[in-house]
Amino acid sequence: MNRAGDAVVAVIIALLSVGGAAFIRNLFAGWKTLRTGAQARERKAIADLIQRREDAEADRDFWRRIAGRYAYQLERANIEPNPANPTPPSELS
Amino acid sequence: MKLPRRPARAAAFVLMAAGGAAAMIWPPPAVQTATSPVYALAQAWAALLVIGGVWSAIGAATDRWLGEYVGLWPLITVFAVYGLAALTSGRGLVALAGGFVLTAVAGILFARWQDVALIRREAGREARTGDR
Repeated sequence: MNRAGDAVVAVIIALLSVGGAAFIRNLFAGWKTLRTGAQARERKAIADLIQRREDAEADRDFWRRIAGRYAYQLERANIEPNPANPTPPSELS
Repeated sequence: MKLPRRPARAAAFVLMAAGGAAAMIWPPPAVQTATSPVYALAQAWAALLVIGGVWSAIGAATDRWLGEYVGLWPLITVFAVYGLAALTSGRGLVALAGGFVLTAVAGILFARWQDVALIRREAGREARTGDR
């Protein structure tokens, strides 16, 4: 067979080897993740992420309201807040 | 929030596995020609198609990410090989078009694997941080 054909065979062998190796690697990696107690069902895992985001948003709104109340109380008591103008981490980057 | 089921995905993977089983007996001419110097390489290709199809079909049907996480990479490489075989078959524009399509399927399967890998990563993170 000519050299081009040999090169194609070599690439095919390499690709199939990658497929086989990835199968074994992902099997162990996935099994290891499940052993940590990770959610096995895909839809439930996505639902957990959605729930976590909703919980984080609810907490964020709650602490925003509390921070507003504290700021008002400090102003009424003529106390200078420290820090005066805090910057959240998301606005620093 | 009720997330939709995707039976079409499971059915597609079943068809891939069935195609692989058939290919073990009757390999596609392009793959057979491309792999002809190495005995049983075409059978190895077909076996990966069966293995990847079965794992992915079970995962999709039972809503378990492990199935596709494990089964998609064999399918990706199978379609990449099929695309390469078609592109190098020298059979004109039809084979060229077919090769492009098959390679594109490999790309789409890779994109799906990236999504499943993200789900696996996030599920692992939730388990570690105890947020469940």
